[in-house]
Amino acid sequence: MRGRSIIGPLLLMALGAVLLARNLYPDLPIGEYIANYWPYLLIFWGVMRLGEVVAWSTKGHPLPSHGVSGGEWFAIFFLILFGSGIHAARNFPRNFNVRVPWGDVDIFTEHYDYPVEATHAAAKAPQITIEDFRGDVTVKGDGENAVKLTGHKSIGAMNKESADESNGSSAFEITGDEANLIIRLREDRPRPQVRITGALELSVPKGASIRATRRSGDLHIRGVDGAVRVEGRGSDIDLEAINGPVSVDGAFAGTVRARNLTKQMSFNGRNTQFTVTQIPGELSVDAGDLTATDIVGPMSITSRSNDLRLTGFTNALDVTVQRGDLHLEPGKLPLGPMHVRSRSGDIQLILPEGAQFTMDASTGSGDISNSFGGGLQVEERGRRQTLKGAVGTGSAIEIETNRGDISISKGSVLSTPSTTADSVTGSVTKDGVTKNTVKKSVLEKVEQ
Amino acid sequence: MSPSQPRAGTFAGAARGPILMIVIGVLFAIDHAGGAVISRTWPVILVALGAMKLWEYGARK
Repeated sequence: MRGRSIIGPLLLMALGAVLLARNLYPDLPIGEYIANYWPYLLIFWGVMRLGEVVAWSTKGHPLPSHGVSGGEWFAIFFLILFGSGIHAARNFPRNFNVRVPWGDVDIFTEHYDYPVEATHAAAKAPQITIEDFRGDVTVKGDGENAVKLTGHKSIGAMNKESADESNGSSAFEITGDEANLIIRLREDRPRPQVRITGALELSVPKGASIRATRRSGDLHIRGVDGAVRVEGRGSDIDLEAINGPVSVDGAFAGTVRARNLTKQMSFNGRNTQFTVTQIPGELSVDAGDLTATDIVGPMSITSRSNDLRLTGFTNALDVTVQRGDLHLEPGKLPLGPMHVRSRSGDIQLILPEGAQFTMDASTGSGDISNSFGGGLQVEERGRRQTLKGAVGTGSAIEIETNRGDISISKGSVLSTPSTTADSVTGSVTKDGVTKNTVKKSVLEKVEQ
Repeated sequence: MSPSQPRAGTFAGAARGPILMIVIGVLFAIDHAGGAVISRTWPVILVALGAMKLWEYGARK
């Protein structure tokens, strides 16, 4: 017969001692102790139970299949609920902002808004630094030689008085000289529990260069001629009509979108890196997809896992993807060289009619289908298939995937998915005979 | 409050619950002492559970 547990009696004694202490010494901050030190009761309980198991085991008593019974887990659950509840309640006056322990949800917090307005003279082409603060920022270039800040400051606090107090000791402001301006949140008495967020609009000279460090929120930059550099974390980044080089570096949870950029853009995200020479059209990248329409190469992309959809691109393309499906549809003739490597994923290449190139495609495990025709030869060796050959004289197209299907088909010049005419797709059967089937592009679009 | 299951179990199986309890207690203690908050550290519990399962499998062989 195994020994009886001593935990129950010990817990009962501890509870009695605490209540006795409260009666004998009413001034003792028992609640405070419980709020801060209840996890040690859990640790103590666990250590005792473990000690029992070890003792039973060394004495050769039969062991229970579970060291902690279902009823005990039930009690532990209520201990955790009770303990963290008391802890949250105890810290209530100190924190304006009571956080639910597992989430970033503020409860008991009101948001109070205060207007923001500031102006600063600026040179024609100033360097503007947007410092790290929470909230959304929209930057617009216009013709004036001044930087104007408008919008509002939002303060999360328990009541209006404490929000007013925080408002009095903080400000979104423009500092620096005319050539180097800094937009920042000044906090004279920063308190970690008061959360100040901005929703700001910044109007800057058209020639301005922007450098922004973000912690959270959205950033939109539109219509500036200088360099733009964004780094940090945040949600959406939206860049439009920028005539200077653009670099984005950081971990962004939302979508990074770029439109109408006339100089190089480089992107260094957690999952994906790329550089592209110009973006007359649009490019967007989020956690799972990179989509670009009407872009100018040379372009190089490396990604751990992303589906890529590039339409209407020109010049050289270099893609390395660990995992993801690729849809590549170059827009203009002559074709630029393409070097595409993927570890796992299907690759679909749609080439304009009349394209000239030399093809060297291979998949380690998968099918190659060629409906472009043009005397390209499919070869099979085990599970490996290759497609080689030349159509006229043109750039080299090298495609390589370890696992996945490759399909080459014909599209029209400068085509986008919505304007593709009936396209021909084919598949190679196991005996190497090419079968061609005609599909409506509408069907293809539905599939995609 | 004695463990209810009368069936005989392995040492690894019997020690799993108490160890898990200690891990949870330590995470809450760190949280309340002003260290890493539980909303960030909770995956440690999963890691501990997995490690103990492995230990159990190893002990059974």
